Amino acid sequence: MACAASVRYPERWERTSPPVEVGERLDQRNEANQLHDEEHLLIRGAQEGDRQAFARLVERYWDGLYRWLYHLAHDRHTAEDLAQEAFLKALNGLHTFRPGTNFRAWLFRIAHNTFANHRRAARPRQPYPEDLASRDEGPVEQALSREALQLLGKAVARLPAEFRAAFLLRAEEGLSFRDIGEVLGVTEETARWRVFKARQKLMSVLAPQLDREKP
Amino acid sequence: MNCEALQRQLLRWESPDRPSADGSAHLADCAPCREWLQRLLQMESAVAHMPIPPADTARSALVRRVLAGDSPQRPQSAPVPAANGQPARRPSFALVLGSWIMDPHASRRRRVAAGLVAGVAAALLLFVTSWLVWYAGHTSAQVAVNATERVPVNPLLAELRRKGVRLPETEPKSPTERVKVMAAAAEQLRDRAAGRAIGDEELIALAQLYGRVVDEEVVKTAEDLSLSPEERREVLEPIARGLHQAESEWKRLTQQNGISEKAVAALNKAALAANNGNKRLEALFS
Repeated sequence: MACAASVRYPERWERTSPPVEVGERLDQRNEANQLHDEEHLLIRGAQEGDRQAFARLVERYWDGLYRWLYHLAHDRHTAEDLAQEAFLKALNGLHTFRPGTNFRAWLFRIAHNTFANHRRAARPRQPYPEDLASRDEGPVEQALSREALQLLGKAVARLPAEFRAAFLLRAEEGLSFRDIGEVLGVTEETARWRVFKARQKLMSVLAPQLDREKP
Repeated sequence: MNCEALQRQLLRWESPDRPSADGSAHLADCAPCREWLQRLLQMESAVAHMPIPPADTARSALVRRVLAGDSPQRPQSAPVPAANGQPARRPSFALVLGSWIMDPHASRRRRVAAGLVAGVAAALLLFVTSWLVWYAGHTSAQVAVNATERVPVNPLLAELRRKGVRLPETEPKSPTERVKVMAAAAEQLRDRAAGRAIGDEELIALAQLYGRVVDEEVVKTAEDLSLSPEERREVLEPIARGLHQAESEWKRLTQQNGISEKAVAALNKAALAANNGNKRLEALFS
């Protein structure tokens, strides 16, 4: 592979990137801490039987969990049912959750088990639907054409389920390889391997399309 | 670090946007890799924008259900109310049968019949239980196999199976397992080439397949292992030793009488693959 002279760094890893303002960084950290504290309170409240607190946890995690299950099941109604079932199981088993551990990973683990149980009894999976509206028109959507996004959706859908599950937990939920391992019941090393293989396959499928779209 | 090594490192990195110091140094000087990384990051962030149908109604329904204090368990069917508004009372079959069997005022003949009924029921229960236990044992293994969605068939594995190489039923799921399985497959190929007198054509096929297994599977997978140095050594050292021995074995085979030039060339290539594989693995753990 050829190496060429330097052009321009992508910002996120530029060695000489301008330093982020200290105040801004502190604000971000404070915001993250606040969210974490709030979540801790909600979990504790829910464990003590506060339904309102659990309802807020549902609001907080519904989107991520439903999206993940949808990409695993390829069917809206199945994903809805599985998400509801997972939340209800979580509510039922909240007393087993250890405060201080990762609630997101714990919840996704329950959802994964629910999905696995469903799959044992399920019919062959649905094809990936083509005519769906994307979530919003953000900068990424502007950067990637609708065609590329559809291609990405199809390529993700074609990944083996275990690679897809691991990859989406990394790319969408930002879980660490260790947490992904916990969710899927595999080692950290295997989680890393699955994400690696998924990325490798997706890049090989998408590279020609992205090349064509290069300005 | 070359471009291929960097890209493989980034693919297995938890956050590719924060590469290692080596990686950053390479990226600073390599425009194609910077572009490649941008694509990777673009692809990953686009995942969150993949279209899905909305599910707001289901979410609201769940929230309402939670707030209403519904039991998480599935609702049980309520007893059908009778005309007077009270649940209908109807003696169950078990109650009727039980009272018939246990009736202390029954005749001798009826008590014998009751004993027979109880005996047959017990035998039937035993049979059904045993069958269920046996059936569960057989089907659970099958369910486990069906539950894991089929990974697309790897052509190299398919070829190895065609050649009669013994492989596990399912494709290895972890890289460590994969390296070991493929190293064992390579040894089987070498053993078959050395074991008995075979034709040149078969010898060439085995030697070529050996080279592919070592290059495409053993070495490449080993390069992706994310293990501690000690674990890496523990896994790779015996395989590297095996490759070293294999090199001499393939070379020895070239000395056979009556072997064609084409076969000699294939055997030498297999020896070279073993030698390269040995060196590359040693570099990974030393």
